[in-house]
Amino acid sequence: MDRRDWLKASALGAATAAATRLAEGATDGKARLASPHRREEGGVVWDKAPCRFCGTGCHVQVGVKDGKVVAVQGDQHAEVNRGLLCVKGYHVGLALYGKDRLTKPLLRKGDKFVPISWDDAIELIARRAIANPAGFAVYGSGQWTIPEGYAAQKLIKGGLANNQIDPNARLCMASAVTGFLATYGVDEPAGCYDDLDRADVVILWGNNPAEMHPVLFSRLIDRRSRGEKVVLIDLTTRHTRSSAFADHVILFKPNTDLAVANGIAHLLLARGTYDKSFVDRHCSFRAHGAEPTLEGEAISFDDYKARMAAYTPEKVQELSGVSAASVRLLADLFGDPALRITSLWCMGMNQHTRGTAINSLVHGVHLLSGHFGKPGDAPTSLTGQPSACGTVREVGTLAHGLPGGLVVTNEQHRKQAEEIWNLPPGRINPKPGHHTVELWRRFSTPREEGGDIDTIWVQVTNPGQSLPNVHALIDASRKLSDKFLIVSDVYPTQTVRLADLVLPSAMWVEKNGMVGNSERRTQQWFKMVEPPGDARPDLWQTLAVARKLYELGVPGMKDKDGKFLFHLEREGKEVPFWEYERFFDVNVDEALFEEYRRFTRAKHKDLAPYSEYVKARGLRWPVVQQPDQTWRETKFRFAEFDDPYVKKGAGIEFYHSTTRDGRAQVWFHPYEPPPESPDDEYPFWLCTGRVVEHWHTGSMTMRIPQLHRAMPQAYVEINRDDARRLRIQSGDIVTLESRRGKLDLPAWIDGRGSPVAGSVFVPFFDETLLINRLTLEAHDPFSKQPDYKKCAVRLTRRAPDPRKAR
Amino acid sequence: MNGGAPSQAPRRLAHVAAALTLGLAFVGFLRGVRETGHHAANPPPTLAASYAPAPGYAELRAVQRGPNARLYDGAFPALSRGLPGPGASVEQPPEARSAAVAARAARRAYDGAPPTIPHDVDQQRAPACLACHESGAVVAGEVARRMSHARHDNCLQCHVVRADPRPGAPSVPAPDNGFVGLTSPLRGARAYDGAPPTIPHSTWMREQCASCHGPAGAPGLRSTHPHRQSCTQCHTPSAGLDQRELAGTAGPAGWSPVP
Amino acid sequence: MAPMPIGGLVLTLDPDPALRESILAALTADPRLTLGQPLGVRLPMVAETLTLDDGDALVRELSAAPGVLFVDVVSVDFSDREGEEPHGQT
Repeated sequence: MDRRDWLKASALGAATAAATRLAEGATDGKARLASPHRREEGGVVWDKAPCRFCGTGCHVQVGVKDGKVVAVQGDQHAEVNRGLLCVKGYHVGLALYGKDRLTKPLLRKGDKFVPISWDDAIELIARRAIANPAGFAVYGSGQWTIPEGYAAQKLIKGGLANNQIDPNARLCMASAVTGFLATYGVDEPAGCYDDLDRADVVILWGNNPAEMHPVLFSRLIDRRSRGEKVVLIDLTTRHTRSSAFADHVILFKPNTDLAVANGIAHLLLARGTYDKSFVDRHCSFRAHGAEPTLEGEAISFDDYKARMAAYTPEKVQELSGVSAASVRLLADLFGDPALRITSLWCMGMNQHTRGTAINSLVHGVHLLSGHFGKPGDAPTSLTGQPSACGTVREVGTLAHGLPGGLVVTNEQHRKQAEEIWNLPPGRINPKPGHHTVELWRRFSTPREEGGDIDTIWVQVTNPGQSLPNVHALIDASRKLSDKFLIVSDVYPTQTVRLADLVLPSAMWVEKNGMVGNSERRTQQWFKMVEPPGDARPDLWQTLAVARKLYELGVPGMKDKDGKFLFHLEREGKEVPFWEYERFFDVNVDEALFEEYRRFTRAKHKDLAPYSEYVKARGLRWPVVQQPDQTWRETKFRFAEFDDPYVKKGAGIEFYHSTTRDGRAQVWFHPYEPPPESPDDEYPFWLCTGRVVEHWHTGSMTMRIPQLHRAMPQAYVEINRDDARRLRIQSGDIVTLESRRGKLDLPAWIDGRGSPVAGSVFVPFFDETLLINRLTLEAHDPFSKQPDYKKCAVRLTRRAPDPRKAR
Repeated sequence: MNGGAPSQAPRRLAHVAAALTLGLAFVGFLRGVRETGHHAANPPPTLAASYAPAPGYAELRAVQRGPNARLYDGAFPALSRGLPGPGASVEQPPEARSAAVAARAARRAYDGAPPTIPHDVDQQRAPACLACHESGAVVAGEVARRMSHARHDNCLQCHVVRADPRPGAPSVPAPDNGFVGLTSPLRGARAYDGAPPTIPHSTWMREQCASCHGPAGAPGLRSTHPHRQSCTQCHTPSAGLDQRELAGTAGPAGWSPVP
Repeated sequence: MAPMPIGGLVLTLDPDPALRESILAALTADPRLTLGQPLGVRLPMVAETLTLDDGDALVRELSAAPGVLFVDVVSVDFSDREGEEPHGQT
């Protein structure tokens, strides 16, 4: 062999070795699928995945070495985040490796948990469902992947047919949904994050994106360091990190955002600066009749104008504490057609007993002023969970929902679903199940007193910490011997501690997944590492229970041809994916997604084939196939220049209008006082929320050393003047008490935020300081979303911080 | 001079008024500073006698952590000392590199993770960071490194403090986590002895080489030739590490659609 | 024979059998390429070109070919070019 042949042989050897590594797939011989984005550098295999945490939907590059995640990078090819992350995203890989991961199914025996086998656990769940099918409920979340939510949805709505499924997203963005439905007749924002690149003015309605959606906030404010002008207006009840960047910080009294929105509308009407041509062509007017409904009743423009007449700047100032000059400033901006204005909101407007109303009013201000449908001109709600949109809103895992925006109360919709699911006609139950607060109230109520729910299976969420008024809604059920709580989770959370049966779950890149973010972007990732111990994906858990029910002869588990509800064939043979060893033989995510996709055309929320999401860093629906067979996403809905479903020449068309004439509804809602206001006995407002370091109930982020060290404990923020009056200093222990519960917390004055006088703020991430013992379960009448932002409390300075004793 | 007397009186009055104001302000200040003493003397009825009095503002400052706490005494003269220039002599003790890499690792979860902040920060107003870190400074003997990346104004989005930011709060043990982060590569590859080494890490968000390798860099990481500014002329970054190979929308491989 | 750079490549082929057959035929016929044993959709091979620039061009040509999804360059041998003046950008 001459030298040249030797060189060629070694080159071929290297190439073959590389090809072998590439062909072997993600983690082991079992994972047959490989992502086209995989690359290997110095023994580290990198692949794309959306971040596990919030609803922004950043993509990360996950570095895996020797079967473990070792590093994370911002994905430079992702349009959402362009290579940048927040501190949670950079540390998301550490969320897998907390030392107390759950690794075995556990059954409660008295005060102890004992390990049981997966077979026994699955059978136990199936037996509970068979014993009382009507009382068996699934409580999921906006952290369910799309296939996980879809499988649970089909099991409950198409199989057990009791409609008892609801998600924690009910606590998070249900009012955004009803706001969109009431206004446009169809859910989810028309605009997208591209609006942030183009807007001249951005208004934050009770929103703190510098901490809660930091990557989007940077996308916006970093424009300033490139020399662009962005006017940021912070409408808020608390000075926050976002306020620090704002041109105008407009503080208002809790609950008076409705008065402010009406004040803007009033001035647009009174000055004639509203967009007459936009209103004439694209808007109708709406208000509640004698019986309030989500659709409301038509009113004339003159009637609308007359009702708004009361909201003069001076009246708004009196109601809200916002100066008349600030109301005029907002009206000046909305009255200027040359500006592009984007409104952003999240929990401030959604966790609100008037959530549907304030959502509708903000849409109304944009529609009335014509600040809609051009890049940069958009009312945009943000979500807090990675798939609040993708799974809850689009797969419809709410008590009344069916996939694709369909609802169980509509006969036509039920027929459509029965056809796609190949069910016998009439299988789907027309009666909606219980919404979250009602579901848990019934679970915590004895059967003889109307507590008709006796088993709840919780997946990917932590209601023991995140429900409002937790004593009443969940703790009470633990004293009722016939109630059975099943919890699938990755760590021993507050809910796991309350459970009867605990199932260890796989999380994030330990399984395949798909999610949908706040801007209608559907995202996909492949499994990259093995889950610890006996932990298994939630999707498998749901399907295994369905199969067990099928084997035990539950008729609902069969389609109209007698086949298993989740029947899956490859090359003419049934794939037994319910046997865990066979679960990764096929891509179950893909099979379920392709079935689900058939629903999405009903409301023009078209999704592309799974393969398109494998290639992309997410695509925004509707994704429509082009004549050249490629798939095109839609950035700006209802706008002719971008949305393929808008009639040519229409300019803007609301093609799911509730009035079926292509028009959006501009609503009138009056300002009304909240259900519980501070009084002599409980003189302070309590607002709850998040901090940048922690996500949701902290079950993942509190196990990440860097995040825990930076924010190890909850606290109460008190206004400086109030603190001085009550002689409270930072670090002092303060007793916070509402009509529902009390809690001792250290005070922090002018710390992370500064609330307006008469109000306090407490973050909810800390399971050792459960602020939801104090919060109110009062909820919006349409969305059934509770108000975590406003209830009455009193403060007592208990003692100086004992930790400072020397 | 006659006209002088009437104008003197108001001026004297003004002086007296000013002195009074200052005096009142001083008393007010003392009262403010001694607020806690006042509390201790008149404890609210619920306060148990066993609790020590809360510390005053001056004490609070003393228990703040990190170099920024010292900003109050002599920070500005220190700032003016500035950073060493590019012509400064560079020592490269051979054992210093692993020490420098270990120090880096202590401040981040893995190579490429944003470092934590070793001092107190203003919790509400982030852009203060840029005062020192936009171009780098020496503060009270400590190097405030120039940030390694382009300017992003929401600094505390990625960088968090290393201990509870609440004043006076003691540090609590961090949770136990089994994550083992990717370690910093100790050196780049050289094509031959004496050739310039390649860049062994991603340059994404680390494009300001001088941040670590400049004259203020840790010994061991510091460049021996800081006067040369065009680093990538000789040291090549890796397309793979920098994600430049990922075109983004190529076809799926090893993956077959549902039949 | 003049010294020529040698490169080890891995091609990722489209799983579509029709496309795959045509691209395999085209690759086999290319005198610059020596094909290895295919592993699923991955095909290892050796490429010999006159210059490094030709090698670059070949990689671009292969990436653009229908039926080829990816081209990964695994190794490039420079040893036959030792002693020459460097050219172009490195």
